[in-house]
Amino acid sequence: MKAENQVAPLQNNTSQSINGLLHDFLSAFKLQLADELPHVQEALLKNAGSTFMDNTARLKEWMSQVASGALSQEDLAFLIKAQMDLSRMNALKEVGLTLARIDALRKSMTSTLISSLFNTIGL
Amino acid sequence: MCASFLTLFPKSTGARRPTVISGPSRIRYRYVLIVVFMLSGCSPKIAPFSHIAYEQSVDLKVDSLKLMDQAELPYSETEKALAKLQIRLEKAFEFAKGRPKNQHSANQWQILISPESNLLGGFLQRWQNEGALNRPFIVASKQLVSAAFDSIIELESGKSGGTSPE
Repeated sequence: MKAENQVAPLQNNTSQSINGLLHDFLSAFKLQLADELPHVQEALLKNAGSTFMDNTARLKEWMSQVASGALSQEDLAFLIKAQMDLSRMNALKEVGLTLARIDALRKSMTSTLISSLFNTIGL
Repeated sequence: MCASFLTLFPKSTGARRPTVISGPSRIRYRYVLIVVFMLSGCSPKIAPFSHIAYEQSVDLKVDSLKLMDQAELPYSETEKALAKLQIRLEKAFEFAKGRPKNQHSANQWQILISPESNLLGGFLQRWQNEGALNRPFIVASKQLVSAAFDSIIELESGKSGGTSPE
């Protein structure tokens, strides 16, 4: 009975420490997300916008060159397909960069967790 | 997010008590376990930055655009240089394909150099089929191939260890 009474405060201390750690970690993680997400959104919007503008500008230029006889219909068809291939490559780039951002975020989460641990333990 | 992360904070802490480790040591033991789960369960999603891949892409961009510029000349006149370039492009693709977790870069290379696509591979194929190409078409194709190489270079430099992926 006596031994059980001694274990109870230790258990309370443990759960308080873990709750404190979880609270610290989640607060720091929330701040990191708030800091990182606008950059991701901004980058995606910027890329989508510039891709659309580039495509439109190129298409206009090619159409005028077809009209003047500098490019043939066959050339135009080839270039439009090339533009589509380029868009596929850019989509792969965006996916890859998003994965790189996730990796970076996870790394910073790990270091946040470790520093929260040290704070909780008191080192 | 890693599945292992979800197992880090169980609802109940007192259901199963270790018999050997007790008191403050048990608390530290749990912390160590949490960190071990966190670090071991989460492997990177994409290959790290490779300086070799970056350099390869930049070199090939410069050399490819230079050769494309000569497409007004008959294909037979530049055949040897083109064959050399194609081998280097194949090597770059194989290098990208062989790196673990690098399928996005490898797919980019495949699109760029495949004769079935209409970027560099398709351009060289057309040059070979038609003998020579006209200047406005060469200029327009060069813009697209240059942007395609930039796409490969930007992905490589955005990987961990490269510049920021902004």
